[in-house]
Amino acid sequence: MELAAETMMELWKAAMRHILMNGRRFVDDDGKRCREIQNLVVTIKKPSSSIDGVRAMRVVRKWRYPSEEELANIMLNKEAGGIYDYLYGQRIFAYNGTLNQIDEYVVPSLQQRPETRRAIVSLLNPLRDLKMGKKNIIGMSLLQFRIIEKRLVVTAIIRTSGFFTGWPANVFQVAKLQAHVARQLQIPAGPLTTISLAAHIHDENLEDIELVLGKDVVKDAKE
Amino acid sequence: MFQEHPGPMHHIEARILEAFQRDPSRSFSTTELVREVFPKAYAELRERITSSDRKSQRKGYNTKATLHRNLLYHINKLVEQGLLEMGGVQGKGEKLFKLSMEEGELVVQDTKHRIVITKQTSMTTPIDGYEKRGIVKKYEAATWLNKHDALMLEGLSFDTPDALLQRLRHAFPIVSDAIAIEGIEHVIGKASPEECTALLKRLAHDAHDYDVALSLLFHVQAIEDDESILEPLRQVLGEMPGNLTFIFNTTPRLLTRKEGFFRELYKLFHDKRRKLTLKNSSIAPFPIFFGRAGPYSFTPEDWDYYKRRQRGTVDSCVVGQTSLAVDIEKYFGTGGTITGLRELTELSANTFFEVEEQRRKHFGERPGLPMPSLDAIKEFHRVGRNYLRFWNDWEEVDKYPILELLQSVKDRLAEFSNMQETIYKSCGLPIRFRIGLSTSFARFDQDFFSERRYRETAVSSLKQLQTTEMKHYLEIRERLCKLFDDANRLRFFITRDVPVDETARIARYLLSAYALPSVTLDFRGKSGEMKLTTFMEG
Repeated sequence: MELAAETMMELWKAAMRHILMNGRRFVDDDGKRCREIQNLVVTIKKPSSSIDGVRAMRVVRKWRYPSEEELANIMLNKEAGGIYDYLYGQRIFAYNGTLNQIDEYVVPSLQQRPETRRAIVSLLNPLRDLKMGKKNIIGMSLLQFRIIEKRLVVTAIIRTSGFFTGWPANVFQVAKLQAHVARQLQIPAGPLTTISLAAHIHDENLEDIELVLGKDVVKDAKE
Repeated sequence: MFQEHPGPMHHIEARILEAFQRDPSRSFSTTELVREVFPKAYAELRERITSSDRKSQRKGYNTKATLHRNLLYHINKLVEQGLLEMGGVQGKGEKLFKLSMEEGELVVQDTKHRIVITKQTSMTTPIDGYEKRGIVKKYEAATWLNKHDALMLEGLSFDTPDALLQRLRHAFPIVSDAIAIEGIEHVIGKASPEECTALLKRLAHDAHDYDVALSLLFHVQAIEDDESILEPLRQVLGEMPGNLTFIFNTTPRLLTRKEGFFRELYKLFHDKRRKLTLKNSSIAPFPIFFGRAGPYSFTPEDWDYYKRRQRGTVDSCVVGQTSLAVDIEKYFGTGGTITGLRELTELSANTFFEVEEQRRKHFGERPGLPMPSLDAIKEFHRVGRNYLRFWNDWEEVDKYPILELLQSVKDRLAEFSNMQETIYKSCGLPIRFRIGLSTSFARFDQDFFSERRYRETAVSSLKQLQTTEMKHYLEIRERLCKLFDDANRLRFFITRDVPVDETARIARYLLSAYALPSVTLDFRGKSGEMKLTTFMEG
């Protein structure tokens, strides 16, 4: 299934409706009732609108959603912190403590061969992540940057997406990195696509979804 | 405010600024800065000054003068640069120094150092309304961003008393309340009696200097030679300051099996008029220790994680992050309702989370000890919890449904913590956020808590503990301990006339008849009428 829309909010609502209506129902490892679509592909044509999802989530008083500053920082900051189990920025800009995948590989690759399909960034580190019993395995696994029609487009492969709670933040983070790379290449940012291998929503969030995205999104799911 | 340092920063100036970084609101005396900047030299000179040898004393005073002169030279340079200023004079004309800036962020940088100092006169938090009304109190709020409430050091990680003392010198400055040394018998067991005596004295001095409560946790089962523990205690117990606590990890069976050892302990603590804590490891297999704010403990899950993943990787870990205390009596006395307690709980949880957010924002990582790897840094922070503490007359539980209320508060805190962890994890920010529930000690803030009625609390015989009233009280305390994940303390004042045999019977009864995680026997001879606050404080 593939969905596309101009803005973040349009796409988010459409994707949420789709998961709620067509998602496979099951109970997850934590005993929570879920709905899930496998391999959900969604594309935002204007990635600059991605900020709207984070802002919508920050309005809710029930929880404290990460700030735009913190979300951007963990994506763009290569400094290793002792707070987070893993840090996207560290994987991107200092993979294994050494490789800056953006400055040393993605940007020069695209500068040298604008048609290349090799400008990828790996966030998953099997040596660190794939351990039995490990609680937190990185979600965003792979990014691909391409120049298509003189714009920088990006595709992110996400292992599992909590489509209500996590996806807006993931899209915002990828859009930040896309803007960072686009600036270095001196071209505009184009569409942003996420491929969620497991796009899911917890039933316990139905009321929260109604609050953030409106009654229309959950109406049919409740019935 | 950003300040490029003129030329390379001298390492002494960097260390002075690091002391202010840890405690930005404080005025430091020159002596305190000497201690912060030259911890090893300071410890040595202090030992000399307090020794009975006049020659050694004189040498100590000479070293002190040299260190002061050296330090003042660098302090004056920082004053000239406008970073520090004089904050007054104390004692016999000793100067105090403080940061020049009133509030904000100061970044001092040269090619080698980058020191970020965040000074906030008051951090606005969601719970401030309740604090203004005198219902909630923050523990040491001025250092919330710069210090941890409590750390635990693992005795197994230190081969010598010196190694332990060196690590503690790094630990004391980043702690606002308590440090525990788990399994200290491993350090003591390897040292000579003289070294042990010197170690205990030094621990007492350092804890007193840094105003930190220090708990020494002994595993009775692991003690190979009883005298290796008893002899140093005989030497120094009488001189130990009040902020040093002795906790013996045992079981009801071990109390009987090592009866001789315990009889010696009771006699010693009775003679020296000290308090002795017995921790029941069959109820609470994890460490429990005490600060001014209250008790600290682990959840069984966290302790299991510590044993599997942390022990051997790190020599220390954070146990307490931040504490808030709620005076239940004041809350209900000022029109608080049961439903309103939910709001108070949520505001408290939000406050803890906001502090964590601020720490992440200002520091990138939380204050820690030097660690060999990034993984070790992560493990150091892994099991720490924030504490929502309650002050109350627990015997009045029939007046309000306190236990049920606390359970609902605990459930709500767990729900909030899980939700925050889930949301952050799904956003690609896997953090740990946990809030524990516990009781508060009066020393959290002497002037804050509501006054209590008086009652007789001294115990002179086992029979006294077996009355219907006492049984009811102990059963309530059992339930409270469970609610607080065993972060609780039950203290009994043992009267002066109780013989060792009876003390042994009292200890065995309390540890075997009730599911109490720890019992403190206080031999300081209090009896008769006393403030309930004092009683409960233990």
